[in-house]
Amino acid sequence: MANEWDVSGNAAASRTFDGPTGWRKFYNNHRDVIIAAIILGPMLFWWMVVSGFPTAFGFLLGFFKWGEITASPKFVWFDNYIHFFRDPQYYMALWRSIWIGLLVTGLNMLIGFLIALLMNLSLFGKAIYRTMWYVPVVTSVVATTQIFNIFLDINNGVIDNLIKRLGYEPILWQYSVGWGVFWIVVYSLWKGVGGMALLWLAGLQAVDPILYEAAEIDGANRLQKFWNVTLPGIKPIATYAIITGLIGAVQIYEQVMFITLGGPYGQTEVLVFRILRDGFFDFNMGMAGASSVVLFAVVFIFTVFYFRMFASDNEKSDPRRGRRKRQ
Amino acid sequence: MKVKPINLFGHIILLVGGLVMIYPLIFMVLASTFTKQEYAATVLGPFPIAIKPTFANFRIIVGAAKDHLVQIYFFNSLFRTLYSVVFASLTAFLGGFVFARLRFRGKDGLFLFMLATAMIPGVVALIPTYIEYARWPYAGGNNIFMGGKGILDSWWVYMIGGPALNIMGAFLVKQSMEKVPIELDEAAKIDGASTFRLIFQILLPLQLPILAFIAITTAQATWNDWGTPFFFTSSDKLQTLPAAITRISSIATSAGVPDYPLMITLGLGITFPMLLIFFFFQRFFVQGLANAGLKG
Amino acid sequence: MVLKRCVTVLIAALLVFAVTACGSGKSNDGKAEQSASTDPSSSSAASATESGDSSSAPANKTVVINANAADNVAGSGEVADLIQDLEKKIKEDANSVDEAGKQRLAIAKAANKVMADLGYELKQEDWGWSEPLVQKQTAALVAKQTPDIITGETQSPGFAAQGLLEPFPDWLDQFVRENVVEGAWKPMEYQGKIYGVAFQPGVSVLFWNKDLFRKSGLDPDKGPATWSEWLEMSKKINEAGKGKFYGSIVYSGPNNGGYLRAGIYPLMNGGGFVNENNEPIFNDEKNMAAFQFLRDLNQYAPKGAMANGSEAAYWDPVNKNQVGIWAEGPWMISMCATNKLECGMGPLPLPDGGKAANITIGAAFASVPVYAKNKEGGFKFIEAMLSDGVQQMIADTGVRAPVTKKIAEGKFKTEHPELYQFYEALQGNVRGLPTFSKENTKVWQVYGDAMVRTLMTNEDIKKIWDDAQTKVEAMVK
Repeated sequence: MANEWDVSGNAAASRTFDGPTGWRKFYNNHRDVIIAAIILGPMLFWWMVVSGFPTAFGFLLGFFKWGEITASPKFVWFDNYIHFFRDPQYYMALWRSIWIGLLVTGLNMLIGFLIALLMNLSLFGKAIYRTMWYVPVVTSVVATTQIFNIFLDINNGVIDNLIKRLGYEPILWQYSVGWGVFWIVVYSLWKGVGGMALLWLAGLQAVDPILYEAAEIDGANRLQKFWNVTLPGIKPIATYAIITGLIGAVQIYEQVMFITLGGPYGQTEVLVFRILRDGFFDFNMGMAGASSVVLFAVVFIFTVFYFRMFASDNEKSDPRRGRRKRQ
Repeated sequence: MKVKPINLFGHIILLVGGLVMIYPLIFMVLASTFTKQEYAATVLGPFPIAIKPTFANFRIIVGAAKDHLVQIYFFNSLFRTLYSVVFASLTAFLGGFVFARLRFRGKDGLFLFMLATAMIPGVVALIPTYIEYARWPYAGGNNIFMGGKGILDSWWVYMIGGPALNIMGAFLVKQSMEKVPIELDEAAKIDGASTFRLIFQILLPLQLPILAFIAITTAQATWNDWGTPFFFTSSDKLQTLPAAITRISSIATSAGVPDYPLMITLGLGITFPMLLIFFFFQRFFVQGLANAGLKG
Repeated sequence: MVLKRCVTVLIAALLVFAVTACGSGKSNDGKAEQSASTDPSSSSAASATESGDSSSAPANKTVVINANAADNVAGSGEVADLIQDLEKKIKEDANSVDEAGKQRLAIAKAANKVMADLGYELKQEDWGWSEPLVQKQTAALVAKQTPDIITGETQSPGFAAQGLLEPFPDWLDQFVRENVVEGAWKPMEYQGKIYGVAFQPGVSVLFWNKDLFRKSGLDPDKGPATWSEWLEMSKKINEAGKGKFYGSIVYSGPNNGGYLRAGIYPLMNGGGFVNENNEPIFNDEKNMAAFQFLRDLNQYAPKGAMANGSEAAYWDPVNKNQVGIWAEGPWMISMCATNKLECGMGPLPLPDGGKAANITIGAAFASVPVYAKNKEGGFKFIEAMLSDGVQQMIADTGVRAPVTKKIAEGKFKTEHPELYQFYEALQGNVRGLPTFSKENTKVWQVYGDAMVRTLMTNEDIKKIWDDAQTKVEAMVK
């Protein structure tokens, strides 16, 4: 099979070097970066066009005041950011995004992990269990939030009807912040925990059985095996699960939009929902841009923090050590 | 045969929890057999049973399936999903390969940068994206920037806007590929395999389980995405199934009381194809997981 | 090293961005000039057609309308084709399309015919309704890519105020003022110019449940005429109901549905959302009495239904024969029939010394955006929808009231006396929801929150609304 990278690199090489031997030398010395450029180049370019550009545009609008569609934007330095941290509507929304996001991620991971441990047992009919738990993941948000609303209706809601039948006063879910957050979290868990469990399961099954056998020979009990073999083994998948979970959870807004609409009294409003309303209904692109940057920064800081704290040892290890010497 | 207590415990928890998971769907199936009138008159219990069950709501879906346009929606959804799945898996795999196997300066920084792109709240780019599509040079009657519709309302919206770069997938592939010993690459090199062969014939098969996971999540996200067709297209022949169903349910809710049973049936209608696809993939997925020992 | 690389990439990106930003800025200017230059010519063209020879074919034949799914024929494409498809479907299976769908088809056919006779081809794009529609319209207006007609409810006056809509040319303006009932266009009048008109808008009128009236010992043929009567009757019904049925609901939830329905009562008492300068006057003395009235009424409503974020909480008891008195738009008539409710109907009760007022609800205002490619065709479409043929068709369907005086005052008055009440209500003091000059959704959110507090707590009403007023004044400042 012809080496594709040679062919594609030839034209460029002939300009820089005298002949194919020069190119071959150049290629051998910089093989990795060339292949990386060939693979990542088009991807990054594509990303630039499709989302990098519009996103940069949106972020830059954070430095502008753009009140009306027909007016031209006015540069206002950091006014929008200052406003963000002065107006409780914004910083409280950010705070809610963070703590609801952390709560959802944490619970999701914990429950998902316990479920994955059980799914990892050799049970009869485990394929059926996996499918059952995964079902909510494939449902559409619009349809299932409607179902939650039907459950929570105060006049003919399924839950209130049950409460009434048991002889208690029905609960007015929509007028309580606590219940609002509770149902947002319950919905997010219902929707997310199955996917998380399957992810953990993949991680658990990726742990080499030989390691367990070795631990058994060393006389480790169940708990010790879990602590010394399972946990280190699932670390890579844990990093992925935490990061995707957090990114997803901090950006939740559909459940808020469809279940509580930010109510009561705007106290379940999360930041992405605010951005959406700013951008489209108030046409306040400046605040939408600034809020996005802040939210992005928060998620980014969390991620970097996580990498520094927990992922440093195995993420930073270089799998290719010693390779060059052998070539 | 003796059942281990831990297994019994597992059965109970998984079954009860699993039933809770699918309960809203059971409720949907039951509610979809109601007529609008009976539904409105019923005191809803956890398992509402229609006294006069009707399949009229299902018939709307089945009847719609014969409709020429609905078939177009279906194929649009299908092709769009397939396209995204292929693209997302490919970019995830290649990206993962780069970050797991290659060594170059600034790799960590680049990786962090790409990871950061996944953390941007998508809403902020929606209006700028719309403008960009409308101003796409030399497309849809545009001269350099102006004049026509750009790539709005064309298949390009799905071709260009869909995949881009699947960094979270690449991240996953990176994680799992790092567990494949580097000696495998070395051995292949010694056998004279080209980089191309190394990537696609030796490393790719080992990553299939993780790619199956990526494929399923991508398929599900693309299938349920009604925003892209809704915002960027208008023509009937470009709509997808979920977007069309969202429209039908906007008729069901317009002016006055929503026709809940119809909406619920439509909701089931969106979910059903995806469930089928999941079942279809699931065998591959589970099988993959079984030998996803990723022999380390 | 990493940092350096990142910085380089960033700088490069910014450079490219700056270049395009300038580019688009330039093209924006060009566009503005262009539209400015076409304005007089298009209006002169319009006046030319008006002055006489409508036989000559129009220069731009295609008119793109932005319909919502509930209107006319659903779907996108050439309207003529859509009509044909739907007719074929009905021919194959008469039950495949419900009655309302057939009526909408008739309306679409009539409109398409008028346009075809003028030499226009109608094309339709289905853009959905409510929140998604607002999002898509906003994006389209920013990108200057709009159809020739856009329809919208609460967002349209805001678009007009921002200068995104084309004022009606003189001939259409005059026609609308003379022939169309005020409520259909008054909400879209801005600084003396009309920017849109609704072809079949609704307003709220009073409904009552005759069955429950009888059970409570009230005269089923006589609804309340004043607020105090309303409260009295509600109290009686509520007492007779003993938790099985309730006195009244006026839906007042923190969303557009709530603002459109509950906003009427402050207006009746001489207050309202805003003063004539479009500044919020939430804590106006006259509003307080109305809010107190709503709070009193809420005692006789199912608990938590009036201020609920979801309209379903209000519809459910009404449809289940559990509510004595409520106020709703014209579609309630057909809903009474489908839910087998025996409904009485009358004008909304007034406070002492108050005057009749109303807010349009379910009104799809059609407007021509400034970026329309065929403005003349757009206005012709509006004229066509207001033509006798189409309005007669709307009148005949019996779901909503027509808006032209000629049709409504004709035999419609005797054939559909219930619907005629809606037409009558459209004649009076009818408004739309105001669009605040800044932070529109946030101001409405404050209003909605204050309304929920008013209904669901026992806090001092004056204090609630003073607080709300202070908040919104800071926002619109």
